[in-house]
Amino acid sequence: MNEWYGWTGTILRIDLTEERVVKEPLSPKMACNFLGGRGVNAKLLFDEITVETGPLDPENRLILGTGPLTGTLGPSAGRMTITAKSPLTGIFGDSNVGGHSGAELKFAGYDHVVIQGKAKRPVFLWIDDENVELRDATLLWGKTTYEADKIIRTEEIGDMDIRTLTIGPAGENLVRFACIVGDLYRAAGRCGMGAVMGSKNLKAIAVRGSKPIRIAKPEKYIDLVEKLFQLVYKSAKYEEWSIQGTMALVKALQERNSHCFRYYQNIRLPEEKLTNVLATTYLQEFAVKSKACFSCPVHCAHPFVIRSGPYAGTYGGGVEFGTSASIGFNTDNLDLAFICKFNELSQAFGLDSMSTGDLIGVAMYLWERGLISEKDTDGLIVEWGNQKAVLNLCEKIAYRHGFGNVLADGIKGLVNLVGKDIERYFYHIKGLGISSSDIRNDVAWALGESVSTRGADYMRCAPTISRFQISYFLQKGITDEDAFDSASYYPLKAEVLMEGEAYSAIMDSLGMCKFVLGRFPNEIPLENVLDMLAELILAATNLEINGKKLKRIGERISNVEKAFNVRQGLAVKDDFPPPRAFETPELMDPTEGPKLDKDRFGNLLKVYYKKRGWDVKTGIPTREKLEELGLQDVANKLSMAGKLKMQK
Amino acid sequence: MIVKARDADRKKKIVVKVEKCAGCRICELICSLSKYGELNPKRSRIRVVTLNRIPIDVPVVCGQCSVPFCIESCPVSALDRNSAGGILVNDELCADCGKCVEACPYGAISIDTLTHTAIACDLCNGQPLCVEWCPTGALTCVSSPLTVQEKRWSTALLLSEPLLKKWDFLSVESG
Repeated sequence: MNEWYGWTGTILRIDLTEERVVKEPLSPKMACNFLGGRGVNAKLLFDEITVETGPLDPENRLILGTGPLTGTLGPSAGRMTITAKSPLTGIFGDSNVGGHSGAELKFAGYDHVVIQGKAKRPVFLWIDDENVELRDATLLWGKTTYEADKIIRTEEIGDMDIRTLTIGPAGENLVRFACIVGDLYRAAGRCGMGAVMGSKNLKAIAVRGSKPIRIAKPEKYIDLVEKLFQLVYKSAKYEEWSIQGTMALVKALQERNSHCFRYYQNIRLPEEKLTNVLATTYLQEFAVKSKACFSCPVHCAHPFVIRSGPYAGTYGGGVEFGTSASIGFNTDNLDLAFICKFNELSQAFGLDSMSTGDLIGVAMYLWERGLISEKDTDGLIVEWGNQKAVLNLCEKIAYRHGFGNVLADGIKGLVNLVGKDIERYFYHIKGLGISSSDIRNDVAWALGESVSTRGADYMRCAPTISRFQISYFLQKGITDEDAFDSASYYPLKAEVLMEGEAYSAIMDSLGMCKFVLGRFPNEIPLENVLDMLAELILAATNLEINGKKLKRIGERISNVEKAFNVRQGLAVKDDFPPPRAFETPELMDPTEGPKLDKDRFGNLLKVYYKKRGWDVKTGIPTREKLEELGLQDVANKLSMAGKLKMQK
Repeated sequence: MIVKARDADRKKKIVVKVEKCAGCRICELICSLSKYGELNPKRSRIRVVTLNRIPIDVPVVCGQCSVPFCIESCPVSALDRNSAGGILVNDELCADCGKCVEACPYGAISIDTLTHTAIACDLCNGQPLCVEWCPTGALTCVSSPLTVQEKRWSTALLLSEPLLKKWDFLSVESG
């Protein structure tokens, strides 16, 4: 590729130790094999760090990755993935963020930003088109994300239209699940990317871009995008999602019996409290308008203002289902005003609202069992429904005060405090809390969360699972009742999961939202979605590609991430749900409550490994598979790590 | 109609409903892509301002003033109206003096940093793409109906008709 369309063709590398800024070309081969975003990030991380690199070491990389479609007109084509070895899990970590900062980075002329080393004192990175500089951030250190954003816009740069990525006190204090906040109200939330940024003494990244993104065939591109928009608009789900956003899931998960009430002790929310937290209540009482990420026709976010009650004066960019479940349902606080308040606080401190809620939920679960008490919690009563305790803990975690210092280290902190025995209570996979909906009721969902390469997470596959499952089976003429039963261990579910995983990897690497096309045209099978995406990529970039090749790229990305974790020492046991998922939820009748079956799950996992072309016994990608995907170098590195046999 | 009202008085106009804008900036993207074949919000003729901590988004676009300060301020007559009522920039004449930018009270006209000529909304010849693509209905394009002057004149003509005959005037047109 002599001329770049879609991509800018430039990687920005910042060495904070050396205070050096280098612009490197994006290799066309890398772009063809991994697209961009999550894919290219994963390969760069795999190549540039080792097993020994500590997540908070200067040698760890913090990689910002946009995709070839980020910043273009397209259904929600403005996203960016931030990647690093995770301080929360110690394995592969990344987090995808919407808003406008990813697009701005493209307009400034960069596909990726690789940040390494550690600044001698607090700095922030100012990217103003080709002019890139590190600026002193001594005065910004200690500020909340809201304050830092304001000071950067007004005093430091003097431009209210720039875009910012900031960390709050949580990131500075290396809270292991600190997030990076983008444009005030969006966040790269999961896996502790904010702590990695904090460990580098990097308070913020501010961007101003005024360069064009070139499109290979503009007219064709506009045509294709128009068709995609029409698909989105005509979808049966559009109205619900554009009006209610992810809060629609509160009702949906009650119907599907998949809630996480009182830290996964009941799959249903109490009926008498349900209305308190429904999307319709949120919209009537708190939401004021719609808010969209860059180039998104769905605008699923709904900014809120609280006008009365104990939390009057609170306002923000919108409450999501993930936050509501993690902090509200987990701790038995089915109160939207409280959830809004928590949302505002966690955003200000730069805490991942999901992991924070998860950890406070664990603490309450342990408290209920008498495993922790007031002497551990600085006198706080960490009981279900105690809103003051939750808000207090949120601040204590961010500043690592007292019991907050324990929780700031995640489940490891609690194990150190209470003992290894409590590990069996954690509803975690690979060290990451299950993302706010129970898995006991849905085997495909459980498998997806379990094999996810960044730890328990449904965004690696599941926005798509239910949809793909049905269309996939129907397309193949499968009519077995088992296939459509969410509690069955139907072997082809493993295959559908791979489809979903490929789709997620592709969207994350293109810079598009997985929800927009994954959720909406329910009637369209994956193959057709991939073909449409391929056409779109071709019109945007001139890259000769088709649906089949795209799927292969998705597979390649999953394999690199898997290889990263294998090299890190993960094994088959790490691809299993937590022990409690094999027991019925505590607050339910044992004869009625759902639970997973360990043996049958293990068998399904083997089917998954086999279909992936991985060793069925160890779950390690085989050399044949890696070489077939053009990943000889990855195979060789696994050999050197003693995970694969040496090449003959 | 005997009166030909100035186009300025009957022009189409993009009307912004701020409460409906979600800040997706699809308007900026379709504008720059259709005008320049590339994506660059900073060259878009419509721009969305976000108040940051206050999550309000406001599209700012040419309001098609009746008294177009930008046109009147241009010393080299590089600005004019097209038939749809949009502002047309003659790139050959535009001298990058910035008088129009100074004159516009709304910040709706700017200078392209690439071509060093004025960027103003030409209303896509009457079919503004930003309006067509807006997902929330925050942007609409309204065409003014008859102007007041036109209505006044048609009333006057109607009322004069009996007198024309009575007093043996020729038709108004030939007079």
